[in-house]
Amino acid sequence: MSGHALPGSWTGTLDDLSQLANTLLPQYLPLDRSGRTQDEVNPRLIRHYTTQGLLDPPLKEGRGAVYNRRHLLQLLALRRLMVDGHSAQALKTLLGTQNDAELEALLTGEAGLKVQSSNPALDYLDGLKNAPSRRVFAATPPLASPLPSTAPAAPPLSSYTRLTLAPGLELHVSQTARLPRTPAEQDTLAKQLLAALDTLQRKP
Amino acid sequence: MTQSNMNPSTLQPTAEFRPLKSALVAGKTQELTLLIRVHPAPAPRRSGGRPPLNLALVLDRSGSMAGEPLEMAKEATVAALRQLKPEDRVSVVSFDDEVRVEVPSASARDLEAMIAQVRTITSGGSTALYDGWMVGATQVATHLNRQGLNRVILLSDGQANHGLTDAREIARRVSGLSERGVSTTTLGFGGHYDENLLLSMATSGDGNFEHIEEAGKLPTFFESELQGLSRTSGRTVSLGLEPNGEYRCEVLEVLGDLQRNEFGRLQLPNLVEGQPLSVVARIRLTAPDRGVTGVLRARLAWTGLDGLRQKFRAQFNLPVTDQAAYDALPDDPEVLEAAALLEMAKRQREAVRAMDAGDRSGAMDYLSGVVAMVQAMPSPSAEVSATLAESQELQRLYQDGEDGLARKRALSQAYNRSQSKPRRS
Repeated sequence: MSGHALPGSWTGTLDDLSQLANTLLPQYLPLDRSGRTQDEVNPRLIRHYTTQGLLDPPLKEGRGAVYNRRHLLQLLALRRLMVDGHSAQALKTLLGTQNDAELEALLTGEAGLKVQSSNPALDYLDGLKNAPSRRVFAATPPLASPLPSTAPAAPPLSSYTRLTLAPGLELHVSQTARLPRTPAEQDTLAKQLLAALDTLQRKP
Repeated sequence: MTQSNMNPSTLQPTAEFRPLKSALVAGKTQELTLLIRVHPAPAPRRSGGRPPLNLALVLDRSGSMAGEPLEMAKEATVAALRQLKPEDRVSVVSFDDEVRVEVPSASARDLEAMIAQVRTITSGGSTALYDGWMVGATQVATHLNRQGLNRVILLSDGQANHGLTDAREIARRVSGLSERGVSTTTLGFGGHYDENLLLSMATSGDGNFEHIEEAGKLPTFFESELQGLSRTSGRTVSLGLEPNGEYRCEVLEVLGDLQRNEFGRLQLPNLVEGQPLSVVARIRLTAPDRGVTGVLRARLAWTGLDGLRQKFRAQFNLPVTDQAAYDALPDDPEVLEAAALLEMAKRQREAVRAMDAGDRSGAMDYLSGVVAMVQAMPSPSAEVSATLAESQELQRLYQDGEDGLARKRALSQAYNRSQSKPRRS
């Protein structure tokens, strides 16, 4: 990790955004990717993302375009998810609908399954069902929380269930794993599983 | 005089500004009345005709619905199912003190099997309204479609008396879900439902509220809700008014009972093709000595059917003139009418507050005030005349001691006005 921290609030020009994103990006990319120049962004690329609807439009259009922290979060999350192998098309409807805290959570690495299957409505209802008292809900923060607090706290004790899917093929499921619930999530997981197995076959 | 923003894309809504008078008096501190009308864009035409719907129809089958009400609610559900297209999803949930998923969420392909199941619903015990909403909401959320319209439509004739019943808490939860893409419409049926609860659920749920008195009309309401959904091009709509500080411009009052979001912007109903939204604001400013004054900017934001947040700003300018020329300017009759209708709605809400405080004569005064307002108008439009008839009917109901019904009607009429809902023929 480099020492650069995500600013708590930020506005700047297109050039500023590009520079800051390039400074911050390495810490969010997998280790073997950090420092590769082809992962860097530039103003032209950012404008392209904006016209593709991948980023919110700037606060002011044209020459004096102004960007803020949300644009930065969207840009970082976009680059990170693309490096993870998600297509820009698949991300199109995603980043615009995530709030800042959710974007930060994507960045800090709860990506994976949660990214493609993110279903904020269902998560919310689950939260309502599992709440011990109504107090909890009054306090649900819908928006921005600082970066450290979004990192998941490690469970005190981890317990795994082992499932045998086929001879020699076992699945370990943590008690805290987020299991797929919707058809879309199940689909995604099945594809991820097959893709993971596929990498095994290709290895010598 | 009207001004519209120019939008290159045909699928964008437009904002129209109509001041009561089309100029400002030079150098003077003054108040002006401004009608801002948002014209929704045509709903996108797709090969299938409209975006896919993802619905839960949640029906009250508590004991009080026994007989004709439940039968009509079932027929209404059947009529709604028949309007769906194969690419839509739907579920049907019923509740008394327990909740049943009558039809789990599925594509609207095998309609006959769904309809047969709906017809088996029978009435039962008390009213677990929140639990019913919750189960319907889960059916919709499980199949959340970011490119479609996701909505729970809940019909109830009673008071929530089982499970969570705190109206404020329920509304908060409904609001939380609507921020995450699933909206809620409520239909209050008869004279005994909890209008405060259902109204606040619809307002915080980014959906509609309807007050329905006759069981025979239930199918019409389901039908119009579906038609509204199929013409919707934007949801979670907000309007921010940004007065120009240079002329010490400030918004004194916004007529109409509109909620504000956390940024202080007005929360408007969904953008539905053919249903312009009217907001009337009273503004104070000090005009410059000459030239054209930038009075304020309106910032309209909405979530499109693609799930993306969109926004634009439009600026409203007025020229300045001298006092004599200003006095000679005519009032824009449309602005007068829009302001009067919202003013009447405000008095109806005040009447309800007086009713709730047990102040019968106060309530009657407010209701008479509405009637007097209409009678004072030079040439009442059809809309104003219809409002007059409603107000007189309200007075009569209240005089006859039909307080419950008078209250429900007064609130739903005031709500319809604030939401710019078109009158049902």
